[in-house]
Amino acid sequence: MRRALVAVLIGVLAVAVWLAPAPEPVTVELPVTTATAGPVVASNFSNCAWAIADDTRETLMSIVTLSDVEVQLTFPVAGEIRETYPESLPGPGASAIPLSTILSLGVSPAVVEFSDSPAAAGVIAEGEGSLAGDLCPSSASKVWVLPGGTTVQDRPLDLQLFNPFPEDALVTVEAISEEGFEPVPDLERVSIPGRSWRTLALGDVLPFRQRLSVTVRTEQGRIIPAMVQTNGTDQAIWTDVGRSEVWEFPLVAVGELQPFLAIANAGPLEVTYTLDVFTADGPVESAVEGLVPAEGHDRISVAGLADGAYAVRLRADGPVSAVVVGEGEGQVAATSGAPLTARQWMLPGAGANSSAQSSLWFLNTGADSITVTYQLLDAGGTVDLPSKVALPAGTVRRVPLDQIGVSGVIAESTGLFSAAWSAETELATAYASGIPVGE
Amino acid sequence: MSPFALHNGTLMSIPDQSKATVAPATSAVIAAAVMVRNESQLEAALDALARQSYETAYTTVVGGGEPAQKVARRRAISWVSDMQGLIAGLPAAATHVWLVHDDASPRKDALAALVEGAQRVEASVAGSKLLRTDHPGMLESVGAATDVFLVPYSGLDSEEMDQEQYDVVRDVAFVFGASTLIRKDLFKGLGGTDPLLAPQAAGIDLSYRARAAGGRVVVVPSSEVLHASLCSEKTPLWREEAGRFRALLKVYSPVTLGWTVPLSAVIGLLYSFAMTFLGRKRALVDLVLGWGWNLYHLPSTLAGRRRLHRSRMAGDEELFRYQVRGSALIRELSDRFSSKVLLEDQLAGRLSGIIERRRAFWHEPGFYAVLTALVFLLIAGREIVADGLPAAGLALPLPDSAWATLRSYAGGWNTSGLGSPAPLHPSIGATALVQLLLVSHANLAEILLSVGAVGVGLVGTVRLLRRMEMGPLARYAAALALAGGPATRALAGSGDWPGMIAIGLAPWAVESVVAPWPVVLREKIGYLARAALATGALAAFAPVAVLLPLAAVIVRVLVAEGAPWSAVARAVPVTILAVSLLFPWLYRISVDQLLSHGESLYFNPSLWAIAGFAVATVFGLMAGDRRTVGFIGWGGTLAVGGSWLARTAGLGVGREPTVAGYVAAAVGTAIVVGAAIDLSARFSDARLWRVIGGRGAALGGLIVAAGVVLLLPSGRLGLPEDRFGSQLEFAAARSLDHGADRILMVGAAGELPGESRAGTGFSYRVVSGTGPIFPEAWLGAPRQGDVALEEVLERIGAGLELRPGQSLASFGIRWIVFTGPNPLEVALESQLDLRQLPGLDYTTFESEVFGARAVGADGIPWTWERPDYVGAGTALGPVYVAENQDRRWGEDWMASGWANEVVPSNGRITFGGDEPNRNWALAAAGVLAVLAALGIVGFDRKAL
Repeated sequence: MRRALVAVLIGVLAVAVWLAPAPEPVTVELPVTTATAGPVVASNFSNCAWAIADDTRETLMSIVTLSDVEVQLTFPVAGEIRETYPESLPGPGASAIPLSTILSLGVSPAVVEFSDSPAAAGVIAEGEGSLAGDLCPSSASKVWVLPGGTTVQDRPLDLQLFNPFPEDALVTVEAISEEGFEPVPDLERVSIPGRSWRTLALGDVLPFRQRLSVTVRTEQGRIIPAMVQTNGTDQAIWTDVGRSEVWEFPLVAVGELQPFLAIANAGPLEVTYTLDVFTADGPVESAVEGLVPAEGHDRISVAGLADGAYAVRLRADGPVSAVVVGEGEGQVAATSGAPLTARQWMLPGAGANSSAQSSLWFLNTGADSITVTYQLLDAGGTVDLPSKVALPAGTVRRVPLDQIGVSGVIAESTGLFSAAWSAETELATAYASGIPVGE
Repeated sequence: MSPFALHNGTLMSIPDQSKATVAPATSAVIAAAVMVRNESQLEAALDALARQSYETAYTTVVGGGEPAQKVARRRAISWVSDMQGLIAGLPAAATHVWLVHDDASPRKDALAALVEGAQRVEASVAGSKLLRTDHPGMLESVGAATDVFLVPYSGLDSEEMDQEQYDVVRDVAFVFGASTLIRKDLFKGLGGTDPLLAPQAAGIDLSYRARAAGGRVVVVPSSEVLHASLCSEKTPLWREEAGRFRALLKVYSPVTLGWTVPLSAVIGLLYSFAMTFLGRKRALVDLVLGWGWNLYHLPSTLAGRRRLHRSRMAGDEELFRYQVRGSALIRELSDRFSSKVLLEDQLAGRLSGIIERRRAFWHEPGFYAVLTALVFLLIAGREIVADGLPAAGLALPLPDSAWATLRSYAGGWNTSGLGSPAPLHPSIGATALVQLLLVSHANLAEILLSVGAVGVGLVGTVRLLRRMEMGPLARYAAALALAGGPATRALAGSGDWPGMIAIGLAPWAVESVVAPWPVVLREKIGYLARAALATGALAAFAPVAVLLPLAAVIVRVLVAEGAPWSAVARAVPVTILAVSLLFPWLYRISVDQLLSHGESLYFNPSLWAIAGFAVATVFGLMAGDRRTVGFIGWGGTLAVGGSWLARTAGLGVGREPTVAGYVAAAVGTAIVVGAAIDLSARFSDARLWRVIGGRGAALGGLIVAAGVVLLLPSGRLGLPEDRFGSQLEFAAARSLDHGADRILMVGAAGELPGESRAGTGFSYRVVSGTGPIFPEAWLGAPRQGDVALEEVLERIGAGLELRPGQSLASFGIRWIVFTGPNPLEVALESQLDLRQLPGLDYTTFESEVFGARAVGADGIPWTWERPDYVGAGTALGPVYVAENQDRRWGEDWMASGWANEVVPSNGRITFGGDEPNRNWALAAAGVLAVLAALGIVGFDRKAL
C-alpha cells in the first residue's frame, strides 16, 4: 500500500514537473531603423558635414532653438578636436556664427551640440557669386542615398564624407548614372579616419555623367555625407534626409533656375510615382507620373509646372529619396524635400544673409486651411512680433523676408504643413529645407 | 627476495639468503671518511673508528674548517675540505668508502658487520642501524622507505625500543648517511654525496642515485651506530624538504617528473597549510623558502641529473619498489589530525593504541575512497586550483579584503552597482568569514570554498547514507550523484556558485536532523546547535533551503516506515535557529522579494539523467523491500519536488526558491541513487525478479552518478568558463593613479556578472574597475543614482546622447563593455567621446572624459578603497562621491544630484553605517558564536 502511495506521490509530482512552463526566451532585437537615414528632426545635436571659410568664402553656422541652450560647436580635424566654440542662446532664439571667427582653414565640418532640445543647425555659405545652404542632419545612418548630382563639363561634384566620431569609418560609394551602375574601385572601402573627413571628387572618377546618384554604405563606423555641386561660381549642398513614399517640396523654383527632381530608388522593386502640383490657388493632382527602376534613379524636370510660386508633392508606391535641384546660368541650388509634415518647423539660417533676398516657403497639402505663424529670431531672441500667413487647403505661399539681421525662423501652425527657405543674389541661389520639430 | 611486512604494514623486501650458503670473504679495503657537521664530536668519532675490529685502511676527515683540520693533523690523518677532495684523494687500494658522521659513534664491530652484511648480499650501499646516543636502546633509523615524492617513512614509532625486531639485512629505499658503506667505484661515479643537502636528504639522494645506477641499497642492522643527531641541529627543516625535492628532480625520468612534481607541489601546499594549524606555524613560509632554494639551485640540480643519466642502469620502476603507497605527508597529516581529535591516543605510552589505530586507518576502504575523492577533486577542480574561481554568473572572485566585506555586511556600505546601504546576501558574509579565517587570502578561500564544497558534499552524502545504514558502494555512488547529478551540474553550469556550495552543505544539514537524538542533556543541546549550524551554513548560501532539513524529515516521516515524528519536532527549532543566522539580510527583504527577486534558472535535465533517475526510482519501488521503498520514496519526493521548484522560473518565481529546489533535487537524487545501488547489493541472492529489479535500479543509479565524469574535462567542477576575469583586466591596466573607475557592462541578463538591471532591449550593471567581485554580485533596490543612470542609458540608446562618456562620467563610469550585440552598442556607433579599445574579448569603449568615483573640489580624484574613499588629508572643500546619496556618508553631507558631497576629515570618507543592519549582523554573529560553542561543548564523540 505504502509502495503504491509513494509511487503515486512521485508520479503526481513528476507530472507537475513536466507541466511546469519554461520562461519566455529573451530575445534581443537590434534596431534596424538606424540602417538608413531617418527624417531630420530637431534634436540636441547636428552634424554639419560641410562648411567653408577661406579668403573668398564664408559660412554662417546657423542655429535655432526653442529653449535656452548652451551650444557647443566642435571642429574635428585630422583625428583631433581642433577647436570648440561655446555659445549661449535664449529660447526661442537663433544665431548665425561666421565660421571665420572660429576657424579659417577652408573646409571645416562641425558638430553642433545643444544642452537642450529641440534645436537645429544649418549652414549657409556665401562667396562672390556663390550661395549654398542646407540643414545639418542629426542622425548618422549606415546607408545614405544622395541623388541629383552631375559631372558634366565644368560642373565639379564633390562627395563630402565627414566622420566626427572617434572610430575610423569604412564606406563604399556606389554610383548610378544614366549608364547604370558604375563600378569604381576607387570608391570601394574608402577609409575615413575618426574625427576627420574626406572629399571625393566624383568628377575625377566618373566624369561627364549627366545624372549621378550615389549610395554611401558604411561597413564600419558612421559618417555624415554631403553632396557639393558647383556650377560656375555658385555651389549647392544637400544631404540625405531619409526614405519616404511621400515627399513635399514647398520650394521648387526660384528666379530663373530650372528645377528638376532627382529620385533614387534603393529598393529591389521598381517604384511608380506621381507628382502633385500646388500653387497659391490650389492643387493640381497627378500632374506628372513616372517610374523609378529598382536600385535606379530618375530625373524629372519640374520647371514651369505653374505660374508664380508653386510646390510639388511626390507620391510613390515605395520608399524613395528625392532632391530638388535648380540649375541656371552659372547657378545651382539644391535641397532635399520634406519626407514628413509637422506643426512646427525650424529654419536655421533663413534671413541670415543680409546681401541676399530670402524667402520662406510654406506648403499646406492638407484638406483644411491653416494659418502659419512665423517668428523671426536672432541671438537676442525674437525679432518683432510674430507674423501670420494664411494657407488655404492645397496651397503654397512664398513669404519674402525683408528683415535684416535675422538668423533663423520658427514657423508653426495648428495643422500639418511643410516649410523651406531660399536665398538669392544676382549671381547665386541657395535652397534649404526646414527642420520639423517632433511632437 | 621475499616480501617482508613491517609491523605497520609497510612492505619491504629481504634478500633471499637461501642461496648464500657460504659467506663471502671479507676482503674489503675500507677508506673511512668522517663527515664533519658538528665539530664537538669529532674526537669521539675518530676514537670510535680507531676501536673498530675491522680496521680501516685509510681515514680522512672531510670538512669542518680549521678546528677539524687541527684534530686531523694531531692524529696524523688526512683532512680534505670537501667531497671533491675526498674523491680525489681516495687511495687506489680502497674498495669501499665508509661515510661516518662526526656525531656518530659506531660500536666496535659496526664496520665489520657492515662489510660482512654488504658483501654477503652484494650490496653497493649499506647502512647501519642507528641508535640514539642519549638512549642507546632506542631506535633512530633502520633504513627506511619513502613515498614516491621521496618523503621518508621509517615505520618506526616515536621512541620505539630496539628489541632486534628489525635485525635482518634487507633492501630499503634509503639509508641515513650517519654510517654508510658504499662501493668506491660507485661512490666516485656518483660524485659522492650532494654537499648542498641536509643530512637526511643527502642520505636519500645518495641511496636513490646509487639504486638508479644499478646498485643495491640495504640496511645491516647488526651494524650498530650510536648517533647524537647533532648533524641536524643547525639544519632548518625546510632544507630537508627542499633537499628531498632536489633529489627527486635528479633521479626520476621526465615522465615520472611530469606527475610527481605537480602533485608534490599540491600536496606540499596542502600539507603546509594544514600544518600551519597543527603546530608548525612557519610551514607555509618554509614551503616558499624551499621552492626558492630549489629554484636558485636548479642549474646544479640539472647538472647532477645529467651526471646521473650517464651512469643510470635502472628505471623508475626499480625505485618505486621500495616506496610506500600514497603520500607520507598526507599520512602524517592524518595522524596528527587523528591525534588532535581522538584524545585518547594522545596519551603517552599507549603505543599499541597508536599502532592499532594506524593499521585500522590504512586498512579501511574509506581511506582509498578518500584518496580517490581527493584525486577526483584535484582533476575536476584543477582549473580552480590553478587559476582561481572562474568569473561568471554569481561565481565571482573574492575581494582582497575580507574585513572590508564584513564591514559592509555589518551595516556598512553595500558597494554593488552605484552603492546602497542594503544588507548583503548571507553567502557574502559566509564567504568573507571563511576568507578571514584564511588570513584574507582570497584565492585560497575560493579554492577551499569551491573544491571544498564538492568534497564536503561527497563526505556529507556518505555520512548521510551511512546514517541510513547503506553499504559503502551505495554511499560512494550517491556521493558522486550529488556532485555530478543533473541538478548540481545545471546550477554550477549557470555560474551559481553559492548554490553549488549549498548543495555541498545540504547533506550535512539533512544528516544533522536525522541523526539519533542523544540521551544526555548536554549532548542534546550540542545536537541542536550543530544541526542549526549545518542548516544555517546551508541557508547562508541558499536561504530558502533553510527549510530543507525540516521538509526532508517531514517527507521521510510520511513516506518511510518507522521514521520518527520526533525528528520533525527537532527540526523545527533547528530551522528557527538557522533562520536567525540570515540576518540582517532577512530583516530587509520582503516575502515578495524573497520569492520573486532575481533571475532564476529553469531546470532542464538531460534525457539520460531523467531516464537514469526514472529507472532507479521505478525499479527500486518495484523490487525494493520496505526499507528501500522508504528511502526511494524519501529521496524521490525530495528530488521530484525540488525539480518542480527548480522549474518555476516560468511562473515568475525568483532565484532563491529555485536554488532551494535545485538543492533539494540534488540531495533527493543522491538518496535515490544510493538506495537503488544498495538494493542491488543487498538482494544479490534473492528471488530472480528482485535481483533483476535491483540491478535495473542500480543501473539507473549508476547512469545518474556517471554524470560526475562530465565535471572532469573542464576542470572547473562544472562551473562555466571565466568570462569576467582576464577579460576585464584591461581596466586595471588602464587605470589612472587614483585606481580603476567603474565599468558599465551591457548585454543579455545571463551574460553579465551577478544580477543586472533591465534597459530597453538590453540589460546592464555597473561593476568596479577592478573587476566584478562576489560581494557585488547582488544589486540592491534601485535608488536615485540607478534611476538617473537608467535615464542616461535610455537617452544613449535612443541616440540622443552625442557624448555618452560625459554623461556617464558623473557616475564614475569610464568603460562600457558589451558582452553581446544589443541596441545600446548600435547607438554608440555615433557618439563623440567614447573610443573603442582594440584587441579585447568584448567590445569595449573607453571614455575620453575624466570621471572618477570621487573627486575633490580641487579636481583631484580620490581613491576607492572598498568601501571607503581615501584622498589627501589636506584636501579642502567638499568631495563629490558618486555613490547613491545617503546622508550617513558624513556629518557635513550634502546631496549632489543623485550622489553625495561630503566634507572629508583626515583624508578618508567612510559611510557612517546602518544601525539596524549592524545590530542584526552582530546579533547573528552572537548566535553563531553561541551555537558553535554549544556544538563543541555538547559534542558526543561516539556519535562519529
